Amino acid sequence: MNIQIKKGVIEVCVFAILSKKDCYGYELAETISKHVKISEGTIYPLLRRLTKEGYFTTYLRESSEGPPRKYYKMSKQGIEYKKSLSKDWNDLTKGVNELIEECEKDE
Amino acid sequence: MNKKEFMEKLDKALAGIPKDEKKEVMRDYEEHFSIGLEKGRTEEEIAKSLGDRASLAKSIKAEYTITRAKREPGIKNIFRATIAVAGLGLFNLIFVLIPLIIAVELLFAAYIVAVVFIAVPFLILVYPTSVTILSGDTPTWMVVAGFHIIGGILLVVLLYITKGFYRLILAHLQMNVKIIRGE
Repeated sequence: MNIQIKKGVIEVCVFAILSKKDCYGYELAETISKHVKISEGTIYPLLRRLTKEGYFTTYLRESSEGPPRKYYKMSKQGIEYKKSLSKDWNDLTKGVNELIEECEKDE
Repeated sequence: MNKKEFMEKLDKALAGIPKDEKKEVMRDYEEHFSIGLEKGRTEEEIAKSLGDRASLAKSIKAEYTITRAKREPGIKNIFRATIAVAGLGLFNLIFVLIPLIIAVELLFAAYIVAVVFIAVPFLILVYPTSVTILSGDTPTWMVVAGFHIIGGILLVVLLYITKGFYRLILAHLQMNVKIIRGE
């Protein structure tokens, strides 16, 4: 997939998942990978940036096995942003799908 | 590539960012490896799925330098941020570095004009014969004073433009990082 498209898509996915529950990085990468092919490493710079911008907060929680995991939690600002992001995404995909359908009909 | 190799290469590629920041970044990937291993994946599989660590390191560095330029504005930090963003690809070299160079050149030229205008009275005093003012009916001293005043106003305006320009460059850099983030 085109790399520019993919970057925007990963952001939409991260917000969608974190609006449901707090997650650690691996979990996010794994969940997204099930649906979209990504380089899992790219999720961490993205999470760092969105955390710095105030959309997420982080906390450490011990796990039964291995080292503690860094969980990401959506802030109030993040919840607001998620709403507008989801709307943008829906408008975008709806518009593009309509356009593709129209063009295919003409063929 | 196994975990050790991946971490060593990432560590090397992250040279230049402060220890604390680097430690945090390395910690995240360390965590990723250990969870992956628990889930029964091999180190090679995990390293491969993480993607190219050189481009990862570049985007981590670019994000960092921009945050710093925002927090501690200064020519040095702005310049560093520009180079870091430009390092992410030829596209960005053209869209980040070239507009910056052109804008800096224009500003520089305008500053020279302002300084020369301000210096007109002194130039006439020092080299009375080498400077010819075509003043027509207006007294020469008026034209000279006019240049001096216009030069002063231009200098003040330029200082404001420089300030605004600085903010614009920051916004431009951030926009670029947004476009290329995660690469």
